[in-house]
Amino acid sequence: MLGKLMKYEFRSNGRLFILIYAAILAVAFIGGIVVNGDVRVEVSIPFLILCLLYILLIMTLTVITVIVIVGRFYKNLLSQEGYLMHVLPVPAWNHVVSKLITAVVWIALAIAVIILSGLLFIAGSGSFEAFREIFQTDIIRDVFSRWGNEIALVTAAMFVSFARLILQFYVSMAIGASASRHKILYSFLVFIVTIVVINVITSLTNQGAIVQVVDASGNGVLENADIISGMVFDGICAVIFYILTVVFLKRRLNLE
Amino acid sequence: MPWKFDNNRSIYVQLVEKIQNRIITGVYAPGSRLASVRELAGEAEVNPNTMQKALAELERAGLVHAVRTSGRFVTEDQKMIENLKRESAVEIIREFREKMKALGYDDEAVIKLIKETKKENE
Amino acid sequence: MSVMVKCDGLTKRYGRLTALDNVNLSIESGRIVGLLGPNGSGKTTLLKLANGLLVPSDGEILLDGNKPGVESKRIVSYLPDANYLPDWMAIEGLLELFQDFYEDFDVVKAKEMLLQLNLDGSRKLKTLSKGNKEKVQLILAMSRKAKIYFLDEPIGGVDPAARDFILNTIIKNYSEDAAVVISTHLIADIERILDEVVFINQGQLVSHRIVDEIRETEGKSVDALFREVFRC
Repeated sequence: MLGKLMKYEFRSNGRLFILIYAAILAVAFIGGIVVNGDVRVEVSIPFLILCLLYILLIMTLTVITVIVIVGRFYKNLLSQEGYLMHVLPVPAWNHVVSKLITAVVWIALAIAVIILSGLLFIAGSGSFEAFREIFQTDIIRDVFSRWGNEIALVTAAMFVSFARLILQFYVSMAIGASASRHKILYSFLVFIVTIVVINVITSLTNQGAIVQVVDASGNGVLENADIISGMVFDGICAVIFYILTVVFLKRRLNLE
Repeated sequence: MPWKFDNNRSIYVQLVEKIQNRIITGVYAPGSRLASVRELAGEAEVNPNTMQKALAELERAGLVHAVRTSGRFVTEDQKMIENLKRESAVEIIREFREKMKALGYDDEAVIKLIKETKKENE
Repeated sequence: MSVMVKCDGLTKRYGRLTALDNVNLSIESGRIVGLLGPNGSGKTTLLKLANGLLVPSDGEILLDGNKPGVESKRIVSYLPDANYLPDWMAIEGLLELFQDFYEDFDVVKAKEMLLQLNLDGSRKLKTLSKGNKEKVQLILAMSRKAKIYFLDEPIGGVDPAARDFILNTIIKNYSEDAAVVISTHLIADIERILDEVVFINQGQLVSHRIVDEIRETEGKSVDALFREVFRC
């Protein structure tokens, strides 16, 4: 059932995202072509325009990703469509998880597209030496073997953070919607409360300050612990928000 | 087109009347097969339970008989149908005579009027 | 005949407001039952409780012996009184969705009915008229072989031809194993297809009677009785 739900999640906004992704990649590639292998060249008007376009598209992608993540949850589960979704024979947590996973995927894709656009820019510029340098030498392998763990850790921590943030939105909407009046106001309030609580706990437990141990063998160890504790904290927050979201959707649903 | 009913009277009784009427006027020919309960209910736009009740009543009266797995059939008993026709006609006449009496026409005046209007219509 | 819907002391409160007050009700399979009451009487609250969209404050409601949840949703078909389907989806997409999530969905039947109404599957919901949207919603709800159907104002706001189609669909769909509950205030149009009626007012069950019995013993239509009982 989860898979089926996700199918409809991706269908609902897939076309929009594909358009933006394609636009970003196209602009990057064209930008590369315009530069034509000589990155040091003085900035020409077409190139400036493409840069501007690129920046605008990235901003649009960011904004739209947030709007879609928040809006989809609200529209599909808390407005009229809720009469369709909550009557489907699936447990409430399915709805939250399917949307959460989809949201994380949209974010991951956005990041991937941005990285890919960089590569396409280089490809478009025909600067094959740069390409060769990046892919054919051992640079990438070196980086990964040395910092592999750190990169994996940071990436994982980043995504746990994203999940936590998404769930912050979800729980605010779920709790806000259970109010009889001023639902949007309540959602905002709950959201602010979650932000405040997280900040307060973070500074109280002084994340990072805990791990002040000086280690003569290298900073890597300290930073990892730092990141790990941050990830654990985010994880705990995410779980709490998740549980609250499901509980409110199951027991305090109040569709008009 | 849904059949017309008076919501103030029992629907199943009205169904019995209507089906009986269709039988004696030949709309449902003697010996012919009636549509299924569901189809009839859909045509009349009534609850299938109500239609079922009406058909059961007609079965009890002998106007309709059920053949297992084949459905329901109108009786072939012409005499019964003729009797019912006569009963129906008598009832119509009775109502007619009452209404005419209320207008001030006694039986002879009614017959005279019928003959006159018959001539006019020819 | 088994009891399909059972309400036992069912109560729903919102703060100080009591939307449903100690409702005791039994609806058997093979029956088409009208849930009648003025606006704000608690009809919609009852339907929401039956579909797990609300949680009771007190008492319980059972659907074929199940509490509202995943199991009950499998056997209950709900037609809400709202435009609840995603506008951007095409009719075909909705057929797919219902097939995906409801094992008892009869897609062949649904397509037949859509064909009868000349509704092309590729059309998006937002391009349809209000009347057609409602017909699509009804077709989806009635194409399920559910044990219990809850129809909230199925013939509200449609033209007479559509109303005939809708009533006909409900009748054709009739099954001895299923119960149909129709919540409406348009009583005159619908009373001929009802077996029983439940009168509800201000959250309380006023009466539960067999329709023909009302007509026989009181010589009134359900509509007339309703106006009498709920005279302002």
